[in-house]
Amino acid sequence: MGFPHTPHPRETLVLSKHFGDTDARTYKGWVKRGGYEMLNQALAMEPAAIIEEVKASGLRGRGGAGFPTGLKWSFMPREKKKPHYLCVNADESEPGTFKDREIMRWTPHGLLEGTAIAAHAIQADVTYIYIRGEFTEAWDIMERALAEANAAGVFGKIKIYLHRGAGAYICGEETAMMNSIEGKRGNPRIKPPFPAAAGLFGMPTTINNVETLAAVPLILENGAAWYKGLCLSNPKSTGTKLLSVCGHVQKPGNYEVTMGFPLKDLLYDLCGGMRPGRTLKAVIPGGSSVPILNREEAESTLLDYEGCVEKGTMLGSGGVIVFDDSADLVYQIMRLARFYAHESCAQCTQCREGTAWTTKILERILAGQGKMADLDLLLDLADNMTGKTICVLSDSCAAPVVSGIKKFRNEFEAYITGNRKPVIAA
Amino acid sequence: MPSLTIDGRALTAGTDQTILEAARAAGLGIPTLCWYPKLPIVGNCRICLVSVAGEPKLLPACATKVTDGMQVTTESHAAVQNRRGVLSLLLERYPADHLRNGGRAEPRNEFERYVMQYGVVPTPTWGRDLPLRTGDERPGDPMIRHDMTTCILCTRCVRACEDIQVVGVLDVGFRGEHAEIVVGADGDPEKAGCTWCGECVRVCPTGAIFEVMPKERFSPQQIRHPERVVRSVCPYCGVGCQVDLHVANNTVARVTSPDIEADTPNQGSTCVKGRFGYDFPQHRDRLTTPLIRRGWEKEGGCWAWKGRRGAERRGGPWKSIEGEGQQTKPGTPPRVTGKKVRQLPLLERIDMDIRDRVATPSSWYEPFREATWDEALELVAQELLRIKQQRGGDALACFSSAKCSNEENYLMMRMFRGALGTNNVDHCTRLCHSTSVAAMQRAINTAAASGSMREIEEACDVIFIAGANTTESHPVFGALIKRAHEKGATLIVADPRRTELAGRADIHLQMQPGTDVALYSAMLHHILTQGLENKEFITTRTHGFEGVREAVRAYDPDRAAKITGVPADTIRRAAELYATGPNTSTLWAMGLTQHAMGTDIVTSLLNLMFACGMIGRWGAAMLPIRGQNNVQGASDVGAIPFVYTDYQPVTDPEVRERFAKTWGVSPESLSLNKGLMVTEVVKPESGIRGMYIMGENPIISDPDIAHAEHWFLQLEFLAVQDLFLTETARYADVVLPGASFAEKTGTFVNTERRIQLAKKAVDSPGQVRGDLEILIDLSNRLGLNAPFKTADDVMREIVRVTPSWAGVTHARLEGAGLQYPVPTPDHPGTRFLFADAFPTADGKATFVPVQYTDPVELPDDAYPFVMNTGRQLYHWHTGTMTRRATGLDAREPTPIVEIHPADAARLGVAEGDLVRLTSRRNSMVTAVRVSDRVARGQVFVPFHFREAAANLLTNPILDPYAKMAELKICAVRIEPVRMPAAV
Repeated sequence: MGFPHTPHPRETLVLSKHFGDTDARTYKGWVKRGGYEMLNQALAMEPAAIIEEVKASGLRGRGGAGFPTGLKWSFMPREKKKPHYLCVNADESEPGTFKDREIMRWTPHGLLEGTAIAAHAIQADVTYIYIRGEFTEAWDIMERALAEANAAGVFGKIKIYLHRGAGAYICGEETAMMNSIEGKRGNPRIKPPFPAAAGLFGMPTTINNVETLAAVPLILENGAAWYKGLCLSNPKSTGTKLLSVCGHVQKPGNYEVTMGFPLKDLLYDLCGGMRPGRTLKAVIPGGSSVPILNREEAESTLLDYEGCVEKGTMLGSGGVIVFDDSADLVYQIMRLARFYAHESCAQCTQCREGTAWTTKILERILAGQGKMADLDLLLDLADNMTGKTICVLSDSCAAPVVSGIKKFRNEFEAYITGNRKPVIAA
Repeated sequence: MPSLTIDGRALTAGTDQTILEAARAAGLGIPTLCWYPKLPIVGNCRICLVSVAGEPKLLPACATKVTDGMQVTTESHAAVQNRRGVLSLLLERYPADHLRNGGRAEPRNEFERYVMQYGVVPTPTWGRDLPLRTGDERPGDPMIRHDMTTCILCTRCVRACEDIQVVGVLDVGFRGEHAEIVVGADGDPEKAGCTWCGECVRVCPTGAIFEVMPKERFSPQQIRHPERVVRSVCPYCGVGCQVDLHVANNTVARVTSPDIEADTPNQGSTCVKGRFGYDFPQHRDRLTTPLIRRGWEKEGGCWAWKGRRGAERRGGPWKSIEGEGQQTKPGTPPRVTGKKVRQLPLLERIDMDIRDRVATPSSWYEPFREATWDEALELVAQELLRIKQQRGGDALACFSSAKCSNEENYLMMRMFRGALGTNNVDHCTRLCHSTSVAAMQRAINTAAASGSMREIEEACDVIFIAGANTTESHPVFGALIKRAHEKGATLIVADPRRTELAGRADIHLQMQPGTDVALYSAMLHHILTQGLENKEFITTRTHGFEGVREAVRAYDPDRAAKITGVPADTIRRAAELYATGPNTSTLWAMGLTQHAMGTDIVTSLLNLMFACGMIGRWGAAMLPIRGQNNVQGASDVGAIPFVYTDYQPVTDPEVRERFAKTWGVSPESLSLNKGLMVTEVVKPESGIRGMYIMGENPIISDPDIAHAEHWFLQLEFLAVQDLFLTETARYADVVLPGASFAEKTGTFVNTERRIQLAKKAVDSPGQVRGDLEILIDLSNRLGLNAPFKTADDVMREIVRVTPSWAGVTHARLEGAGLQYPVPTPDHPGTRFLFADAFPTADGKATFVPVQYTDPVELPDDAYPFVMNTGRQLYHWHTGTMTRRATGLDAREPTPIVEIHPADAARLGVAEGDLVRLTSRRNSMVTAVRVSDRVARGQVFVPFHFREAAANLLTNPILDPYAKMAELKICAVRIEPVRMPAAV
């Protein structure tokens, strides 16, 4: 097994430097590559100094929300009165996203090192790495790596446990993840209280994404200024981003680029462009939860947090889903809605009923039984589902529906008016 | 104190209040579905979202804390749009076609009211994309069923079950659109540990979870619009839950509990008995006219006995309890839970059979004829006066009733003392907490709990429960203890059985029955060796400690471990937790008291408590948990043989003077001798020839029934006042039909000294008279002026002679009631006692050294098992009420004996098999329930069942101080009984 592609010259290899290198997976191999040195140094540092360094680097959460990591850490109580927890979100379930999996597969020690540094920075006693249940290979590798690192005693007093998810997408939401670790049903919690005040087991907790933490040792090693310098566009977005490209491109896969890299270049240069004879139709740039971009928007998008927002979408988790002109977007949107309906935790009314209803309407349209009024009903439902629930799962379901109807209304209408043949049975 | 504006109104809210709380406090309504007072806030229905100035999104009012300067708009356009959205989404899966009729429909529940309020019209059910909701349904359940199509998944029921009752039967199963309320893991509430408390029914906003019984008997209109709703007090245990009786058609249609935020002892909860055990007054067995035994005839203005004489004088065409005990019975059918019922084709037949045996057999009525009130009361008065004249007042005795109100008990003891000149007045406290009272009187001259129930939840750190199966016998209090435990209090349970609380306790001291003194002495021994005793408390608040120090010296934990069977280290750990509290509350009930050395056992526990100073603070309470709903009150108003009201001794001439004056009789007519107690009365040497029994059933509840039954046959005259022709009443000369709890007004005192008012809800059936009325009439006929009309009148006299109740009036008892002492009309009542001093002469408590002695009857080769008796969740005492309550009886229809699985295997018996239990006194046949709640070598027999009365076997030996019988321990032998060919 090797990493699928040889790096493209325009990639910036920071996190993916050792991808494909099986020797880097072992403790010895990682130490040979300079691993765990930063942890040793960090353990000797004041927690506040680490937080300052990370703040200065401009590192932002790579799970999707893009919240500044150093700032998040600084929310933890300075004076420790209760146990602190760190949760590492390795429940990577967002459709179209597969970057954390690769980090765990190839550089498990890099993640463990970043985790331990973060744990020290927020004075956490115990750390849970919550790994998606379906990631069996990543789990095995992480388990082996953790055993090796523990045997080498590199973590000092910090305890790291792996926790295996059981297949629920919603457990990737930070508060649902905490419930899941506590042994409860994975329902998101109402905020406030925020995790830094009362999180796992009611104690101050920080939750970070795998990619975020994997970057932390490198920031300490090369300095905040170096990381801040990795920026092609907006200075608020720094560092590199692993982008998981899937769909109708010649060479799908994980590509690591500097923040602000043009989406157009990613698609046409790094990924080898569309399949022969096909043209680009739409892109979902940040995992399934963000609004869809049409061709014009996609080709002018710069891939960083601000660049995506400018085009009315989000960088999200960096799962780039590409559709060429052969794609049936109504069907694709129905598939997304069905996913969210299936994964809704069923707490909030809007989400539980709204995702299911949206799916049923889309299915009806695809079965040739739609009405024009259904499009209004869908938009009405989407409005109902946006910004009103405990977590953003229901917003995520609404986003592709709204942008889809707005940008590709003719495709919906084709099904409704009978200009397209039904593709599913009623 | 943040100030904010809600809908333009400037308000000042408490810090830490939510927007919803602030709005409610100001009388502003915000619609809520998932929110319910006191339940954890989950904020999942999203209907309470409101607009807050400066916030980009709508915020949930139920979960958002107020901040200074906040500007809230509850009915902004966005908020209203969202509410309409939520309601229409919920309606899409809700059967609401009736709401489509242009606004003429009547909303049937909380949810539909919002639908109407926001003008949301549901789509017709036939045109919908989504199916109606489903969920676990509890088919065939006798009390609670579900119609999950109307569920809106607010999860109130889940949280009520988990966080109020701490049972956790209900949960949300599955995800997304398939989410539904599930019952346990497989839909069987029995397996999931359901207690049928009905908390889920109470909180459900749509009626998806509903009570079966009202729906079967009343129309929806009658249920939705009861004629009146009357506040009463639950007629079962000593927790004294307030309940609301809904009246339709002059019957109690259903029972609900008061507002969860109301200041009631139950804080809005009830248990299965309170919520579903209300239909016994309407049972067909109810007596509606007075009965006189055939043979009594009136001749020349005087009643004379013309019937048979001798042993058969009082008999009848029935089997004695002893005889019924010998009969074989159908084995236990599975308890009715739902799914099992369907799998049991024969159940109906078995059930019929059971019902015939439970109800009063028609043959029992044969020796009686119906009579008028005048005839009946005339006969009673004549015979009581005749016996008094011929044999003296002390040949008469009465059993008053812990089920009757304070007023009735007061009139009863007033009548016997004032008109008949005897102090032979007692009630079932004798078989309940008499030993506690004896021990507490000896130590601190008090006879009631020192604290309140809710302090266990509010302020207690360590809960020590001895011999109390609280979750079954006092379920609402049990739930409170579980809540306290969930919140972090340490729970220590001393009990030979592994009860529910013992199962969840931090420490379970599972001792051999009757070895309590050794256990508590060993705990004190360890506390003293560790120096953990409260030295200041001992020196300033008590005397006589050195005697106890001496007495416990012999009980080091290692020796106690040999006696009690509890590992020495466990005893040590429990002792340390108990002593270091900081606030330890001590609770106990029948497991301690119903022993022949009950007074010593309670004393040893009190010694432990005083040595650690765990009394007289909020959080450190002494709580003997009272059994009956008015056992405390009946004692308080003097229905016990040696005191008048407020425990004023009958032997004190000054006290006698005062009462004689109040009652308008000569002081000499009142006896200065202490009277006989319940257990002393039912003995050949008592010399009692005539009896009046109000609402008690001693033939089932007294030890060694065969002897008791024989004793009652020998009486010259017996009058019984009861709702039904009970096992005792069938031996009576006159049976007077009394009124049930719903048919009268009166006051009751619960286990925390709280005097509460229960009001009349319905009229009595037939010629039934209120007990108060009967007693007033009879008093007057006996020549004692009883110038009362109502319970209020009687209370006014009671408070004149009861110093600690001096400030009580019926008007003041409205609402939460008052915890006595209430010395003045403006006194707010007393939540806990003994903060500074005890009510003894010098204000100090007395330590009384006690020594452990083996229980009188230990198992041996001939009788190898120790039999313990007690109560079940679904039944009450002698079953007079609960076995006639449809829902309750369906859950526990037959008598059982709990046997440990290992013992059952050794005996070769399985669940439902019949066994014969034989003690040194008698034997009876009952069915096996295999359960590891009992320890090996022990069996547990509930005493509710006439057809297998536990008290046939029990030992009538008495406690030397309190005359309590050894009800908890007797040695028995168990043999399998072969059933006759298939039922």
